[in-house]
Amino acid sequence: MDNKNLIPIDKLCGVYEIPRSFIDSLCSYELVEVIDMNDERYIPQDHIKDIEKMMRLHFDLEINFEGLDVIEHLLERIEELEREVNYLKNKLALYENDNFR
Amino acid sequence: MKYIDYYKILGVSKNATEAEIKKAYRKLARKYHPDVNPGDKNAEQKFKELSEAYEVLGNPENRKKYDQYGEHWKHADEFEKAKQQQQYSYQHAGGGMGGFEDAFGGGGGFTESGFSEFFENLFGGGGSGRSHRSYSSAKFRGQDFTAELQLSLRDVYKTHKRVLTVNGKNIRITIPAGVENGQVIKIKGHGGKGINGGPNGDLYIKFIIVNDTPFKRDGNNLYRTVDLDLYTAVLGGDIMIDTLDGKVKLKVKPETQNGTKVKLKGKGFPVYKKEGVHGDLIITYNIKIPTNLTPKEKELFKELAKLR
Repeated sequence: MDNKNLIPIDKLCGVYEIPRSFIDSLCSYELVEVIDMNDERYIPQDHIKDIEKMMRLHFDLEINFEGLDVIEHLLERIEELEREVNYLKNKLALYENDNFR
Repeated sequence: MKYIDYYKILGVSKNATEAEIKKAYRKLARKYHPDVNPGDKNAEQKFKELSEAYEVLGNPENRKKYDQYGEHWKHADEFEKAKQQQQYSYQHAGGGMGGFEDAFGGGGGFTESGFSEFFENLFGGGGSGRSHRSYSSAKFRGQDFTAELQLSLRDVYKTHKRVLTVNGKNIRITIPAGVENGQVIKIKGHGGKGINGGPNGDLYIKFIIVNDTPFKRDGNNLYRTVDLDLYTAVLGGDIMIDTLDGKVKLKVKPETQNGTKVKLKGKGFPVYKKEGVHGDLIITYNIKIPTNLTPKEKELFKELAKLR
């Protein structure tokens, strides 16, 4: 596997100054994907944004891991609904001016 | 300069305890945190205000200064020093006391937007929501930026490049054909600068597509109503139709009914990120009945009617 876009968890924890247990917990709640390779554990680079978000929610707002899980699901749901609202708005705009069909 | 009442922002009284201030901040921060309100500018602004209020009131030393000096609390040490010096000169030379405004020209460090530079200094201008944990040298991604870009339907019919100015920097982006109204695309690394050498944030562009054509768009399909004269509808014939890609010739079948729909495959809107693939163009015929008939025409129509 190409490990160019993988970041070792220890390095990640060092850079962000967070305990290793934080990433382990995210992993156990399936909030982040961890890749095991050559006796080392890695995080895909494109998950960094999500990890930063969960760090802020956990450390700044004291939201526990169950809470992070709920927030993740709700945000996904909001995103889906926003897409649907946008689609319906565009559809509605078709009928607002005249009966073209 | 506007005085910002941090107590009011946190919804606590001036004699609130430390625990009450913390509790009020936590409650409001959970509600307005940018991570739980993505894309909501009002929530972001509210969170900035809350964070600034808590940075001041949540720290007993800062709170004491704020209670004493209000919006000038950051200059408390300088005020104290000036006060002591002036007291000294008063005692020794009989001079009067100048106000704090005189001493510092009223400069409280507040920006024109009404919010303090303090927050900007604390969060590197990002204000993306990181706050009360001390990250001495931790690297962070920069703030994500969001922008709206208005384009016409014709603009997004073809993939094209465009230069945008974001925070004073020109960036050249490719806008793929088929972008939808309200669609958001991410431009990696063009957001705020990373903190402590962290990566830059991303730029999110929301497209506002204005329809400047006679076509209606529904996803990848285009719709248009076309007038058809009675004789072509009855007898059939060829008509020229405008598409976004130029004119096309269309065969009209004899005895075409009003409201008949014809689908022109592949003449609709380009499918997003599928080069060369287009939706369909759906034409609806609107048959025009002749008006202002001459006596001769009326006679002929009567004859036709007798034949039915």
